[in-house]
Amino acid sequence: MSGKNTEYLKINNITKAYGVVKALTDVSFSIEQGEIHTILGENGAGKSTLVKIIMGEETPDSGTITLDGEQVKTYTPSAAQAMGVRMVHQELAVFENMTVAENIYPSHSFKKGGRIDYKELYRETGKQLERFGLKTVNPEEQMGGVTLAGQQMIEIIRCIVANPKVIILDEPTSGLNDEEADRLMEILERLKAEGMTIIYISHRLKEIMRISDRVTIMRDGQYVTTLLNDENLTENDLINNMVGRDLTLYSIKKPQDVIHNEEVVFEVKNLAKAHALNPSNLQLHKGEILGIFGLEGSGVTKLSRMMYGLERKDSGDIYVKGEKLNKVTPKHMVDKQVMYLNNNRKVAGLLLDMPVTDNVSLPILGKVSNRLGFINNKELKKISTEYIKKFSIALPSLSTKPRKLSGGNQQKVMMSACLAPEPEVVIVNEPTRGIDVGAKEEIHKFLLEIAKKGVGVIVFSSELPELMRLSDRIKIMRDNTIVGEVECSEFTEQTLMRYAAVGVSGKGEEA
Amino acid sequence: MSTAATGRKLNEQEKKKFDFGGWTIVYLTLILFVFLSLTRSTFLNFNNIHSIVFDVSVDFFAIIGFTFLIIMGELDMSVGSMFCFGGTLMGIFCNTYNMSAGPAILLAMVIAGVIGFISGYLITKFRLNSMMVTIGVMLAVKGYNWMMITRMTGRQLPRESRSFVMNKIGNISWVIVLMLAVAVILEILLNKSRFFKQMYYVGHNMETTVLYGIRANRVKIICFAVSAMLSTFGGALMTCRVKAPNVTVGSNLEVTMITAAVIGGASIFGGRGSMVRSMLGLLFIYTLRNGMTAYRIDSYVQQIILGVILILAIIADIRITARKA
Amino acid sequence: MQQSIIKKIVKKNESIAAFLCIFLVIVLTVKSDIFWDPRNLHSLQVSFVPTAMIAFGMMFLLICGYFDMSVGSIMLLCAIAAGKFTMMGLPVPVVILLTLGIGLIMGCINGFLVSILGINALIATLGMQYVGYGAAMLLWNEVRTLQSFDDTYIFLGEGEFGGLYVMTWVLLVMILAFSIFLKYASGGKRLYFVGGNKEAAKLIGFNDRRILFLAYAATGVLTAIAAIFRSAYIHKPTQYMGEGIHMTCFIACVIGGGSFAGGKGSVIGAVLGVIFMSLLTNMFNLLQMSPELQNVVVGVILVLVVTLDGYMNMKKLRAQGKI
Repeated sequence: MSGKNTEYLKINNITKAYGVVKALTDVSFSIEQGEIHTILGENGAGKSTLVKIIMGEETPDSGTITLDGEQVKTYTPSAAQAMGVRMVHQELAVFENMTVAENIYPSHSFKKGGRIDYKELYRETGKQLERFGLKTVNPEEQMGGVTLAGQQMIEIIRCIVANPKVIILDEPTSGLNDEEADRLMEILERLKAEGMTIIYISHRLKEIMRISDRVTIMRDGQYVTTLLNDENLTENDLINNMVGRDLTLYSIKKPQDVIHNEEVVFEVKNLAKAHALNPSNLQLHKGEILGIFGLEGSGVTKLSRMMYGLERKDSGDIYVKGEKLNKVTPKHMVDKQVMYLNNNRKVAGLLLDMPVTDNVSLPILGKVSNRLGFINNKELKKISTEYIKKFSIALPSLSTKPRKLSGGNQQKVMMSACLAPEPEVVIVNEPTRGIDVGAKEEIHKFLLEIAKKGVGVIVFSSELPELMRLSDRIKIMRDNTIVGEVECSEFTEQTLMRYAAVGVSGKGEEA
Repeated sequence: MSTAATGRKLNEQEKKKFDFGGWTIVYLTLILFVFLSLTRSTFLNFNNIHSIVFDVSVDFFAIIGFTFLIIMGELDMSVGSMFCFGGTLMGIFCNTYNMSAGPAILLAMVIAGVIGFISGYLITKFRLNSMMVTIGVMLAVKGYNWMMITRMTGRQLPRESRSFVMNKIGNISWVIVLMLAVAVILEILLNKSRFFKQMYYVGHNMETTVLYGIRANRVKIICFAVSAMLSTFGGALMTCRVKAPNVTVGSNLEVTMITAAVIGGASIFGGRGSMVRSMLGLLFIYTLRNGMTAYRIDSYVQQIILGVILILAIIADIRITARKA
Repeated sequence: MQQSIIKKIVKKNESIAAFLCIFLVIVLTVKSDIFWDPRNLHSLQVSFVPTAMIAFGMMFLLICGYFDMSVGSIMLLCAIAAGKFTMMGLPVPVVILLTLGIGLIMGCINGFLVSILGINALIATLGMQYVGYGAAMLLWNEVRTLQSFDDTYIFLGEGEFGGLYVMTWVLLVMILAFSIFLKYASGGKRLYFVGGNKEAAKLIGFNDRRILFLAYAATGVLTAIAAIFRSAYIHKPTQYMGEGIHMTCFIACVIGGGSFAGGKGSVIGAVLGVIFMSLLTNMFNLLQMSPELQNVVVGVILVLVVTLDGYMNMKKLRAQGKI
C-alpha cells in the first residue's frame, strides 16, 4: 500500500464540552486515504459531535484537524465543503417538492445557453440511478413519491456526484431493508475502489464487519481503540470494546434487591404503527423498574411516545392497573396517574421562561386549585419548596426561570413537575441526559426510592450503566422490535449490547 | 463563551427591564396625556376624555379574546368582521324580527360563537395556520355584512333597542364601567385561575402542556369561540351607538388589535400578554388618534404613523424574545 | 411507470383551477347571453391583466412560503405617484421609470422587514399596507385634479395590437419569460428549493434570505407595472385602485396550486387562478348577483383550500409514520 497517505484525515487531541458535560475528551486518530473507516460507539459516545466538528458544524474547544496535510482553520460547513468533505445526515435533507433529478443536482450543473438542459439532467441522473441500482426510480418523479429508502439513497447520490474527497455517512442503512442495505454496501465498496475515503457510522455490526477496513471505537467521549478488520476480528471484539467499562466504578443492582410483585400496573399489548413500531408487548409490575435499551434508530423513542399517547398508534391497547384505556391521550394517562418525563428538556417538558413554581404546578393545577378554579398559591409554594429540598435544587428564588439554571437543575425541576402529582406509574425517558455526576446520582437515588414505595417505573435510557443500576429487568429493542429481555441476575454490558447491536443473545452462535 | 462573565450582570439588568416592561405602556400613555393636556386646550375636558374611553371600552370587548389567543400564540384576523357582524345581526333581528336588544345580542353572540368554534376546530384539528383560516372567515363574514347592510340601508335600529347603550352610571357610560370591571376581573383570573393560567403555559410551550395532561387544543377552540362572541358583543354596542349597522364599523380593527396587544407587552410568539395592558394599549392608540386629530394631522398621515408603530412594536417584540432565548 | 394521460393531468396542481375555470365558462355561456360579447371579453381582459401581473409576484413569494398583503396599497401608491409625476410635467419615460422605482422601493422595504429583520410576513406587509395607503392618499389630494395622463402614457392602457391590448401582449411575454425562469433558470429553481425545505437549502449553500428579499422586490416592481397599465387604461388614477387585490391574488395563487407551506406553484397556475377570480367577478356582474356575495364565496373557498392543504399534508406525514 505504498503511496497511500496513511494520515489523510488526522484528528489531533480534539476536546469539546457543552457546559459541564464533556462530549469529547482528547480524541486523536487518523483515517487513511481510500479506506472505509467505521466509527462505532453507543449513543452519546461522542461520534456525532466528532462528525459535526469534521463537517464544520461545531468548533472544537481545543485540538486540530488536518485534511491531506492542510490544517482546518475555520470550522464552517462551507469551509468543510470547500475542502471536499460531504456528509449524508441521518435526518434526511431532501426536497420532497422537487424531482429526483433536481434533488441530485440542486445547483443544476447541466446548462445549455444559460438554460437548464433537462434532457441532459435526466439522462445523467438516470445513469447515476442505474449505477446505484435504483432502476425503478424515474429521474422526473417527485421526490415525495419515492420511498424513504429511495430518498436516502438519492441523498447519498447527491453527495457522491459532488466528487468529494471524504464522504461521511451517518447511519445510512437505518431506513433500508436488507436488500437495499446490501446494494449500498456494494456501492461503497466500488467507491472505495475508485479511491474515495469513506467515514461510516453505524450500529449494525454485520455491515461493519463486511465493509470496513478499520473500526475506531469510542466510548463516553473518549477514543478507545482502532481495530484492523482482518479475519481475526469478531463481533465480540467490537462489543467488548464498545462497552468494556470498569464496572467496579458503577454500582449495579444486585439480584437480591430485585422486587417481586405480581400486581401489573401498566401493560402494553400489541402496540404497533407502520414504519415506526412492530407489535410490542410489555408488563410493568408494582414497584418495579423496567429498563428499555436500544441504540439510535431502534424505535425506543417511538415506543415511549406511543405508549403515553403522544403519537398515534395503528393498533394495540394500553392497560393501566388492569383497566383498558379506550382512548390513549396524555390527558387520560395523567388522569390515571401515569406521568411521562420527556427525553429533551429543551424541546418539551419544561417552561423555560416561566418561574420554577409554575413549572412544578403545571401538572397539579387541578389539585392545588379550589372548586372555583382558583389556584392556592400557598399550597403551591409548599409543594414547590418540598421538591426543591428533596432534590436540593440550587435556586436563587422560587421565581427563577429554568433557562438560567444548569442542566442538572433543569432536569431536577422537570423531575419535580413530573412527580408532583404523585403518580403510580412513571415513564422516564433519558432521565440523566447531559447533566453532571452529582445530579445524576441524586436522580438515580430518587427513582430507586419511589420504586421502593410502590411506584412502577419504566426507564428508557441509552446509558447501559444507568439501566443496570436502576432496572429489575431490561428489555432491548432493535429495528423497531423488542428483541429480548434480560433479568437482573444476567446483567452484563456484553449481553445487552449484543442484543441491541446484533439482535440475539450472546449464548448462541447463530449471529 | 467570553460573555459568560458578563452574563450574570446582564441577567439582572434584564430582570429590571422586564419589570419596567410591564409599565412601559403606562408611561407612554401618561406622557401622551400630559403632553396633549399641556399643548391642546380642547384635550383635557370631560367630554373628550369620556369619548376616547368610550371608544376604547367598545373595542375592548374585541380585544379580550384576541389577547387570550395571542397569549397562546395564535392570531385571530376575523375580529374586525366579527365586530361588524354584531351590528349586522342586530339590524336583522331588531328590524326584521322585532326582537329587543338583549335577546338579539345574545343570539348574535351564539351564532358568532359557532363560527369561532368551527374555525378553532379546523385550526387545531388539521394544524392549520390560524391567520389564513381567520382571514378566510373574515372575508366570508365581511361579504355577508356588506350584503345584508346594503339591504338595510337607511334603516336605523329602533330607538328602544339602542338607547340602552347611552345609559350612564353617575356621569360615566355603563359600558366603560363594565370594561373596567371585566378588565380587572380577567387580569385577576389570568394570574390566579387555573383555566386562564393554562393559556400562558400553552403559549410558552404547547408540547409541554400536552405532556402534563392539559387539553391545549380544547382551550384554543374555546378561545376562538370566545373571541368571536365578544367581538360580536362589542360590535353590537358600537352599532347601537352609531344608530344603524354600518360596514365601516370594525374595519381594519385587526391591525389596531395587534398593535394594542403588542405595545401592551404581548408577544406574537405567545406566552406573554395581559388584559389590563392590552386595554391600555387601546387607550394609547385612541388617545394618539385623538391627539393627532387635535393637531389637525391628516388622517392619512395618522394611518402611516399607526402602520409604523405596528412594525416598530413587532421589531421590539422580536428583540425582547431573542434576548430571552 | 405507465400513467395514463388523464391521471397525469388530474395530478397536476393546476388542474383544480383549470376545472373551476371550465366550469365557470360553461355556467356563464349557458346562463348569460352577453358573456361571449366582445365588449365583455374586453372588459375581462383589462381587469384580468394587471391582477395576473401582481399574482406572478405573489406566486414567487408563495413558492418560497411567504406572501405580501401590501400589494393593493403599493398599486394605489404607484398609480397616484404616476399622476403626480405627470402633473410635475415630466416626460412619459421618466414617469414610468420613477413609478417603477417606487414599486421597487416598497418591495425592498417589505423584503427588508421580512427576510432581514425576520418579522412575521403577515404583520410586516399589513403594516406596509397601512403605510402605503396613507402615503398614497396624502398624494391623492394633489392628484385628484388631474384630468388625464399624457396620450403616450394612455396608449399603454388603451393601445391595441393585433386585436389584443398592449398590456395583454406584455402579459403574454411575462407568462413566457417567467415560465422559462421558473423552469429553466437556476435562479427560479432556487425559489422551490427554499420553499420546499429551508434548512436543507441552507445546508446546500443557498442564501435563503437573499432569494426571499429579491422575491419581495420583484413583487413590488410587478405591482408597479400593473398599476401603470391599469391607470393608463382608465386615463387617470383613482383612489379605489388596488382595493382588495392582495386577497384576490393570494387566493388565485392558492387555487392555482400554490401552497401556504411553500415549494409549490407555477406561472400557469397563477394565470388560471386569476382567470377563475375574474370569471367569478364577471359571473356576479352578468348574472346580477349581489357582488357582496362574492366575498362570502371567496372566503369559504379560502378556508376550504387551506383546510384541504393542511389535511393532505397531515395525511402524508401519517403515511410516513411521522406523527
